[in-house]
Amino acid sequence: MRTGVFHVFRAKSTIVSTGGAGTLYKSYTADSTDSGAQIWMCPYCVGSGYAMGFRQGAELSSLEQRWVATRTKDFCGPVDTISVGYKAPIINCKDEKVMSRYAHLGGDAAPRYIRANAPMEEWLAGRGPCYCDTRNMAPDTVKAMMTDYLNERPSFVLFLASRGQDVTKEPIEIYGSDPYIMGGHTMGGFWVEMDRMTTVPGLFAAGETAGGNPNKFVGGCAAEGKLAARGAIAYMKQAEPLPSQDSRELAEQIEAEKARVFAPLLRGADYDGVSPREMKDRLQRLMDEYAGGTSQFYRTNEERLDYALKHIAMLQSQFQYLKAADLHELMEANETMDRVDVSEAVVHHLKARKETRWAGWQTRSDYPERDDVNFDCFVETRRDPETGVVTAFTRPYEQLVPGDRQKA
Amino acid sequence: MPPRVLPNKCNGCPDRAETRCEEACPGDLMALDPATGKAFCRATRDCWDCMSCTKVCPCGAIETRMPYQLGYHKASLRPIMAKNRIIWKCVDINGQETTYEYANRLAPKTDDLP
Repeated sequence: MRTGVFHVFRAKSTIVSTGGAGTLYKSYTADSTDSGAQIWMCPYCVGSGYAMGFRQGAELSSLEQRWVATRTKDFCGPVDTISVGYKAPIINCKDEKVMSRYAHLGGDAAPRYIRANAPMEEWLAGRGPCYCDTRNMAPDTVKAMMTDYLNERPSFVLFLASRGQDVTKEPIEIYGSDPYIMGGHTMGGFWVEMDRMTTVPGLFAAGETAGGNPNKFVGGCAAEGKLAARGAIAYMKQAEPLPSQDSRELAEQIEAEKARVFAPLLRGADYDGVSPREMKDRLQRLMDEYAGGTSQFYRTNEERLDYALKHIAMLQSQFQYLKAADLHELMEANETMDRVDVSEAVVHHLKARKETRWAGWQTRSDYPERDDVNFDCFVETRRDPETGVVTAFTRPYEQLVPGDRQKA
Repeated sequence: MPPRVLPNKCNGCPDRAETRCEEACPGDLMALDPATGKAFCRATRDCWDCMSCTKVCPCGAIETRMPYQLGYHKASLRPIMAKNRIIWKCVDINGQETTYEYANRLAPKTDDLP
């Protein structure tokens, strides 16, 4: 990023743990001002790890189970700190406790996608805004909560100060976030075996980048890193020797990848093309409107998804026009291409699951009910490295941990 | 979120190959402008307001601001980095000041040392 040097790593096994993908969807505060990255997730995790493996034929799993969370409105900051840590209940504009509407599903202990979606359903029904009710908090509890926020997400305190907001008088408004693809909360990521190897031999994944095992969070991701390290070492010990450094085929592969990566920078200062930001913004609105973003209350249907695929293909055909003026913009150009490639997979996943299993994370307006006969399984995608064609298929659910599946 | 670099306080970290804010920013958004010798944010729209730059600057030359889309004019939140603690001074749009403090590093326990 500083020197433009292209580093080539030769390894018998590789672990990819580059995080998940935010910024595929347009966040609702992204406009022409300075709030283009106001999302909960780190906006610099754009799914590059998924893209790297996917382009080489590694199978992706469950991207349709997108992570959508209840977050503070506009700022999109953490809410569990308040609602769980400080027990501030979720209320709607009529002061009704929202989660009691879901008592039959467990109320405050309802499945996470129910809790994530509840404020949005209230808003859609005309009972918004929704809040975490902080009005009964004692002053020193408020100070403790602010101090916790200063540790976790300091600028949230600045946000409240920029509104002159006293949370004991005005509760903290909440709303749904934009959808994220990740393996740490939800289970979107590479299909991995128990040793964390993907379907590409020698390629391992851990953390957000590894799919199929949700609710890992920080601790689980760290444990998974250890599993992947063990797996990678075991693989390495029995792996074929690496190709010779003089290998013609290797040199051709490297030259091809260098050309792909550097192309936007080498088109010349006067090149009449497309900036990475323009393509990113276009992709984000496409995903938001057609692939179930926040403006659509996460809903989509077959025809919208087909429209999204058509335009994603057009964006891919326009990679050849991306231009970058410097190394930072070159990074942006590559990130934007990665976002588009991952978005293509996301849309295939949303298309393939023809039911609504996790409303809010994955809502099909045209298939509003759950279909256990056909879809009690994993949805998978694979991209052919030669042709670029993406196919979707399923893998059966196999119970690994004994007991009642429906009980935590 | 756009971090504002105060030109009268920024010295461009002359003792380092990269400025501290350049190194700290997870989005590669901070850079040194060779024309002015000061740091600047190359893409304010992409800032996540994580405040890493604001905290790491030894000259207190960076101010994080809320974009107007999200917050009114003008509040401030200033971190004062102390040993094992951060003191935060917050002034809201009505001029109300609050100071917070917390330990961000556990002080080393001498009996844990080998």
